Amino acid sequence: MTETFVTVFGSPELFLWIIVGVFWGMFIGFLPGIGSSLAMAVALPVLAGFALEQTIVVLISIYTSAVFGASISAILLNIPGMGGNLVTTFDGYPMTQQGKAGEALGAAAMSSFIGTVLACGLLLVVGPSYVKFVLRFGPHELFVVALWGLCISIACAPGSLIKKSFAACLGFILACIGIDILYGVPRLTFGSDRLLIGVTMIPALIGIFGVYAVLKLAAGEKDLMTAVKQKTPKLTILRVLRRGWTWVIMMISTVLGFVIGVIPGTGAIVASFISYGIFRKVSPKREEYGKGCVEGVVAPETANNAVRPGATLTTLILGIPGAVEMVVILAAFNIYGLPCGPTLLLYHPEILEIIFISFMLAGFFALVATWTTIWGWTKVIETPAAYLWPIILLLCIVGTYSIHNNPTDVLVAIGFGLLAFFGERNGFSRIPLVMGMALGPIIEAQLRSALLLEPPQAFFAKPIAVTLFILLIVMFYVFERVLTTRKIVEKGGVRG
Amino acid sequence: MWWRRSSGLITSCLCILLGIVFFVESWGLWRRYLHIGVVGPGGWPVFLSILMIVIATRLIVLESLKRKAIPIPSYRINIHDIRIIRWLLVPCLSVAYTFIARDIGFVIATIVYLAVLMMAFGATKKMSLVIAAVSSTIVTLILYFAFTTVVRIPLPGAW
Repeated sequence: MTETFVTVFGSPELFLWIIVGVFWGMFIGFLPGIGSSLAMAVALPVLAGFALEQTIVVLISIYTSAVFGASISAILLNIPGMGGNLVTTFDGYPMTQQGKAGEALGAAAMSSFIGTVLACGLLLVVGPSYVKFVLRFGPHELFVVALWGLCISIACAPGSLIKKSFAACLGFILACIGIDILYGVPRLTFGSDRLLIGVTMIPALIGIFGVYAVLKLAAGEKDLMTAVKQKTPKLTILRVLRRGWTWVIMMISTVLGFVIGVIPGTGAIVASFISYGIFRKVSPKREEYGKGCVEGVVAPETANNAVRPGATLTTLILGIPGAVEMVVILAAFNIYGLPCGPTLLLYHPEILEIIFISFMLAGFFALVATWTTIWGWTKVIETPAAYLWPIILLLCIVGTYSIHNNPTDVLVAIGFGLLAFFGERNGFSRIPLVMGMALGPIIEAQLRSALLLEPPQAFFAKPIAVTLFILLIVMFYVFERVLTTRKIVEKGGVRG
Repeated sequence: MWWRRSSGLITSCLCILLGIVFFVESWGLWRRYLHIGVVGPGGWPVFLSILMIVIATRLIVLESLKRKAIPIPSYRINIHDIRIIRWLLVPCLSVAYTFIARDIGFVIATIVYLAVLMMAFGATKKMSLVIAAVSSTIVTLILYFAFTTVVRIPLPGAW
């Protein structure tokens, strides 16, 4: 570890590159539709001349800071920059509307940092052993884990269970449009060539959140030439550390995020939902969740950031990238002649130490970057909505267009915005729709793989899958029924 | 108005229609790959569409049994309200902008698009119009530079 430390810190200008990487990642993460993978891919050719350790440090900086940037857009604009920040909008945006954007940003930044640091600790201590356990996960187990994310999101969303279920089914079936993953045949394309690429997640997400927000604003009665004044407390970034209960939330969310992050194919969105859902039930302030409670920002942001070290570990051990960002990191290894596969850590165990140091450094610098820019962000949000939201809408359109350089994606985004608008008016929450689209492909792929490999009754012979499934039924029943979710929500609780 | 009272019922009927549309499309796929069985490409969509129809049917039953109409949220669209123009402008202008930008160029199209939207959202006084015009221009130029030179992402009409 000491040698690695010396190698990484041997070059003083590295810190300048880390700062550049952090701001670059935050800028890209803030823009809807772009994503951290693009930020990393653009930076890779520039970094090719560096030493391997330094390249990894800068790439991880971009990877980590992009999540910070995405949480900024989730809190200030109610548009999650990435899927994992979706849950942050539930309480982050109401806090902005109440003039507490600075407090929300500070809480998000600190909990992201704590989540990253603690997850790195878990990475070194239990990571390799836990991965050996996860390697026993097959399609049955992965199917149940994905169901967890879906059921918790349905329980957390407002509205009647039946309408939420319909929205989730609609999300599932929209995710089926395109080419079948197993047999490669067109599915639900209605004879159209344009639907062969399917309904991609990013335009749908931008439409459901970005376009929807603008439509709601346009149809609302609010005077758009005034803005909510923001109060940013001093040392806002440290306020969240003063509450003991918040530390409990951060520690448990870190464990949840890391545990789920190591499981391939689940993603930050599942971890953030499960973390939020649990604390929404057990917190002493549970009635405030969804109305601008700082805990509602801390829980998902911690889990969201704790996912990344876990996901990176799985990628390194299995040799299979679990996310597009991992592809860029593996490409970097390829450039330096390292073997990309399960033997990587066998022949180069120092890579794990480099990853550990990278996440710690990146988390720290991203925290400082957010802290120093909080005042600027709150000033931006004080801009009257009449000027700000057309710009946001433009960024949404440009971000959507840039995915495939295809105007059809913009039409999809606008279509989903209209769908979300009319759906919300009639009691259909957007959240199950989004989760259905995000988790539908995973649930379907694992279910079909399981049925292809073994007969259906083989599920009952999988102790891990059965245990998780029973826990799921119990948790869902508790969430949806016993702790009177509906009553809390009908009082004007969680935003959808 | 009867449509306000029946909005839940209308929505439920639309839901069942959606379920039927997807069922018809996926049933054809299911029959084409029947030899593969439930794990074929048609199995999952057929299951989902049947589930949608069942849920939508239950919704229709529940809506029919309801005595009161669903309360309309505060951001309702009132056909006699001027806000409907603003609301319609957002999607229509956005679609038009995406396609027209390719013909007239990103910079001009974006400046006009932003300025019109800002005016529709309330920037109608003299000073507000000036701010709208200036801010549209500045934002457009910043975006153009950032996306084409720094990030190198294609913009509608810029390449």
